[in-house]
Amino acid sequence: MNRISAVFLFFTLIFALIILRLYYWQIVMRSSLKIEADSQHFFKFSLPAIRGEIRTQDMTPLVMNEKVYLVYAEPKNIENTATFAKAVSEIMTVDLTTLLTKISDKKTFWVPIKHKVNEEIVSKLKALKIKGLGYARESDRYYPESSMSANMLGFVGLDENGNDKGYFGLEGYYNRELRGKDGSLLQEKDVRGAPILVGEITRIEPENGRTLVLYLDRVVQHIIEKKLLDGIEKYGAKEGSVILMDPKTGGIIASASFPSYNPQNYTDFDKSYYKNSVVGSSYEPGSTIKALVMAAGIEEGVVTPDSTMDEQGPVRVGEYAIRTWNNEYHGRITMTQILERSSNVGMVFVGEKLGKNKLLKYVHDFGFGEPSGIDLEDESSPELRKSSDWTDIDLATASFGQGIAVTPLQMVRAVSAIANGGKLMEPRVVQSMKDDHGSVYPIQPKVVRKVISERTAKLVSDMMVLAVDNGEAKWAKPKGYRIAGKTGTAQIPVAGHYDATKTIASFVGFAPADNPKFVMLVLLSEPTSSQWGSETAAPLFFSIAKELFIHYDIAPNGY
Amino acid sequence: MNMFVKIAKSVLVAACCIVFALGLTEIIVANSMVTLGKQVKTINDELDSLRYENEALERKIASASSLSTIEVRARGLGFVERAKTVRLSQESLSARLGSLR
Repeated sequence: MNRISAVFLFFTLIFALIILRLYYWQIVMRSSLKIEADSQHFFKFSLPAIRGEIRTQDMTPLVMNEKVYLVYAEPKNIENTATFAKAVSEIMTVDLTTLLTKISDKKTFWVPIKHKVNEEIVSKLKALKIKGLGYARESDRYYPESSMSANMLGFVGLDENGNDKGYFGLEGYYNRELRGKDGSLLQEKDVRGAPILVGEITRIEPENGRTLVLYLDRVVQHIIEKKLLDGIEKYGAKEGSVILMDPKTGGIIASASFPSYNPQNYTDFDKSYYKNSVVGSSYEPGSTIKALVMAAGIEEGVVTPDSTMDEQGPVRVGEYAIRTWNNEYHGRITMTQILERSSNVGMVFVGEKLGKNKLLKYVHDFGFGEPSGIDLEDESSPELRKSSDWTDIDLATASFGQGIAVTPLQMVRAVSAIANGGKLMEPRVVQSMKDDHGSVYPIQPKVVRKVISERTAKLVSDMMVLAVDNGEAKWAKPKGYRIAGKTGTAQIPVAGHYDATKTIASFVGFAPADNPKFVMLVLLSEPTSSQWGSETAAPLFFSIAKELFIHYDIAPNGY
Repeated sequence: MNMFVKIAKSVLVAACCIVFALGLTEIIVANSMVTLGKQVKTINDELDSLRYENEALERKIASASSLSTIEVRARGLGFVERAKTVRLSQESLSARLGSLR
């Protein structure tokens, strides 16, 4: 009986041990064994979504994709670490010491060496036939027009997880739409790695990113970039910007700022170049704002184009004396002549007629002090003082564009409101998006508000035409065209006072004045050939306008 | 009774034959599909390679038709920027034609 019990106990123990062992393999080790088995039986990899392209209004690509590689090392499989590091670092131009440190830990299974390596270098590496070196496909951005509209486009870099991410401009703003959604593939494989068709297959297709179609006209963009670079050199300016808007839609036809960078190799440039100064930097607009203040005065009925004021001499506001730009005074002059002669004294008169509340209302209504809502990541808007903080001298100087900060985009949008009959538009860079299946998603132009009436807009347009025809910059104007515009020269505030030697010269206008095809702002920072907008920014504006008239096939009057 | 047994036997034999034939067919089909996997992989690789080649060509076309490339080539061919643009109006053209008559 004892022997039977002993045998029974023995078998029970053995049986219990088997159960325990089974429990260990089936329950405790289940997940890790499943992963190991899956890796032996299945392909499982991500199907990366292709990032959307960016195209101009005529569907020419500005940004495309290019096949590149992530080059990685498998330290476990490297036969000779020193030889490996030397050979690879020479071809890939990576630091030898850094690479040695990366691959010296033999316990590490996988170490990335470099992202976005092009096909040529990978071919050279493959020719080495070296063990422990691997390649994974990646995508990089390709710019057929090189650095054209770099500040508007932005660039694609890597996020903290090593994934592609758009930064600045359109790449940053539309990152989600451009990125798309990755898919995945799980497929049973045989011992040689070929797929087993009768096996298990789970495939989730990637959703490729959407293609952005812009309002941008690449010919106009080419013209303004070329002309702006020439202008910066000719007038000895430190920086310069040009922006063109379609007043009917608010679409940005072209925009350029220099100095700029090349998004293909953005890391070679100083980070300060990444910012799009057209939407992200502010300046004091100077006399270009006079057309807007005059529009406010006419809309409110406090002045008309033919109203007069007596420009006897400097006007006193509190303890300050405000002079004209050339310290010349013309006695009784009309409002039209105030714009033609760009009279600060005359504008103080209009500002006083309007009064604080109405002047500030129009400053806000024309879109200053608030972001315009443009679809670019880097937009910022300088804040305006609170209504209660405005003193008499602040109001007086604001009426001729000093003591108030705006962005170039805000200024061109405000003038667009005069050009299109009084409507303030929301500026847009993208006019539609297109997905992989060919569906098009148009983005409709948006009217933010009606600032002035059509009648006022027409009157101010005519006054701006006369300001061009009879103003300081009339010598540069192309003959036979009705161009509405206004020059501006603003001193640059430095540490609480204005630097008399440094100015921002600008010219804003639209043409043809009766049916504007474009509104354009030209801005030159610290020009050295002359500090005046009429001698620098205005001739550059007209020089660009001449090219645009040919491009748009706009004949001079009488033709 | 014998007749019934005979029929039952025939049905059984026929059923066995059908099962055997179906089993054999499945083995043949599965076997051929497994070997087709290699061909599918080859075709997929070829498809990828053609797709990338196509994309590379698209990039080349875009680069070759970029405005900066066209400008450089035009200058190389001796083209220069126009000094002046002349527009002919309907009236001036008519007058000119009239004087020629």
